[in-house]
Formats: sequence, structure tokens, C-alpha cells
Amino acid sequence: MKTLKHTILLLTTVIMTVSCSNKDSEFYNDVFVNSPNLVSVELVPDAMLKQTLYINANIPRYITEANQTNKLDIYKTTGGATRLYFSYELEKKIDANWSIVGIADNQLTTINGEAFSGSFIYGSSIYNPATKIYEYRVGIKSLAPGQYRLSFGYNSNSTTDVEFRSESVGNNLFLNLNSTYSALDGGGYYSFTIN
Amino acid sequence: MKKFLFILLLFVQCMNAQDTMKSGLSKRHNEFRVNILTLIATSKLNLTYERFLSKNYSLGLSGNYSNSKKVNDDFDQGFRNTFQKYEITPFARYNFTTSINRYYFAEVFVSANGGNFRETVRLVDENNYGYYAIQKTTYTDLAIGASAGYKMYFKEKFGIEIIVGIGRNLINRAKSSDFPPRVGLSFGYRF
Repeated sequence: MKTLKHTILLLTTVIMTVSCSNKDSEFYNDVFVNSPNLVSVELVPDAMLKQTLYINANIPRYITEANQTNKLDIYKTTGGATRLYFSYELEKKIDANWSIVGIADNQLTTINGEAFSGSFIYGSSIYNPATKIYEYRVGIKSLAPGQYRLSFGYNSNSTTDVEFRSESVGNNLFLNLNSTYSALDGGGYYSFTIN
Repeated sequence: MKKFLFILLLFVQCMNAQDTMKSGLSKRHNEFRVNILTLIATSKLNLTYERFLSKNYSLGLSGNYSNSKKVNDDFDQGFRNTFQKYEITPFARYNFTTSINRYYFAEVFVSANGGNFRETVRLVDENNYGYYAIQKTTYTDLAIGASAGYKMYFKEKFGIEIIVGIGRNLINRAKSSDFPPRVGLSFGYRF
């Protein structure tokens, strides 16, 4: 009985050891890069003086990278990625509480790039070979008057950066591009008012 | 009474069989085995030759080779940064129980191992722009380690062995695995 117990213990240890893998702990096709001021937000009034909130993320193919002297080629790093993805959500102050604002498709004005609406917006800056820029300019219109705040990154903990992630072609690298945006407050929000 | 005689006869038969097995095993000094656990779990071919010098001591040599599509794909897709392709492991083993039919053992081993390694590096192209790329290189390393296991024989020549152990790579840990494991469930033939 004692031998059987020892044998089972040994066998269990063997199976657990052989099952161990580094797959759970790390993913080695990620690159993390910091480059500031790749995003801007603006409120633009139309002819009827109704305000549209535009989010711009026009990212050059060659960007400055923190602690590097040579500009970084995004396109080459990602093996030809044509999209950089990011997300943001909008909240409105109602009775001193902040509530998430659902955005309908017909509220979006897409000038460049692509955006999917819902409880948050999932945007893609799309590469334009002519300009060599990943382009994104999408507006949110028909917002009811009130106090709003915008935060970047759905479920993101960052309060200073807008986080982009490239698509990856084949087995090439994923580029994770973190860009500081100075207009964010200490909680990571861009606050504005719609009149 | 008949029952008692029958049980006694059976017991004597068993003892005789065990003695025969013991004497049979002690005359067989060589063993080949294949590790079926690593073959199934990681598509790694592991073959071992063991030479029994005495009742308690033996020496052996294990060889691993792996080139499975699954592991290659994991490596290429970035789910692992090292891919150990081969390992040659000489070992010295001590049987620390009295039986040679079923016994626990301990061993020390040396492992010459090598394979592929990948890392992300920042390069500069001809236009003076930086870019990140995956750079694949090969590595070799040497580990020392220890293992323990249990072994049992049946029909005087077939053996099953369970082993678990761990080594420590010494030379090239920036690329190789720090602690290469030595594990297995092997089926062997003693001759």
C-alpha cells in the first residue's frame, strides 16, 4: 500500500511536470513602444452650432520612440499591418453620477478609419500608403447637452496613455503602442460639456 | 484442508516464479526503453540504454529528439521562446531497495542539450529607420541534475519506469531553459 502511494505520488509529479509549459505565462510576439501625442480630441460645431466630438488618431508610419534616436517603422515592425486598434468610451454625468453613454451607429461620422459603436467604440486607424499614415478621424454627433467625460481603453488601467495594438500578419510581431495624451486628467478622462 | 494446500501450492509457485524472475533479471545486464509519456505529451522521442553493473548500480545514456509541428508552430507564433530540439543525457543510477524486481532508484545526470531560441531585437534599416524583428538563433548548454524514480519488471524482461528529476543549465541560461526537467513514463526491454 505504501509502495502504491509512493508510485501514485511519483506518477502525479511526473505528469504535472511534463504538463508544465511557458505557454500560460508569456507571449513573445508582443512589442511595447511609447510615443507621445498621437491622439487628439476636439469639439467641432456644425452650421446649426450643434457640437460633434471628434477623436483623431493619425499615426505616421515612422514615429519617434522613447529612448531611441532612430524613428520606428511601424509598418515594417508589424510585417505590414494595415490597422492599429484602440477603444474608448463615453460617460455622461447624470444626478452627480457618471453613466456610460451607448453610441448608435447613426451618431458616428467617419471621416477616416473605421469605428464600431456600442457601449464603447472600437476604432481602427487604417494605413494609407499614399500618405504613409495610419488615419482615424471619427466624430460622435447628436449628443444631448450635459457634462461628459471620455476615457480611452475599454477595461484599461492606464490613466495617462491611449493604447493601440496592431493587427499582426502571419507570425509577425504585434505592436503595442502607448501614447500619452496631455489633455487627460489625473483619472485618465477627457472632460467636456455639450451645450 | 484442500483449500489450504491449494493456497500453499500457489504461494510456493509464486515464490519460485519470483526467484526465477530475480535470477533471470540478474543475468540480463542491458536494457533499452522508450519514454511513452514525452512521446504522447510533447511528441518528443526519448530512447534510453541502461547497463546494469551490479544489483545496485547502473549507467546509462538517454537521447531526446523533438521536431514536432505543434511545438514548431508554438515557437513560430510566439507562445514559447525556446525550443529544445535535442538532449543527450548520461546518467549513473543507484537502486536503494533490496529487490531488483521492483525498486526505487536515485540518479545523477549530465545533460548536453540544444535547440532554437528567439528574441525580439531592434534593428536599423538602410534608410536609418528602426524596426523590431524576431531573431532566431540556436543554443547549446550543459546541465547537471538529479532524479528519482520507481521501476518494476514483469515476465523477467519487460520493465516500466517512472522518473522525475530536474537539472540546472550552466553555460547559456540567457537562451536555454534554466531548469530542464527529466521526466518520463517508460516502457523497456531488458536483455
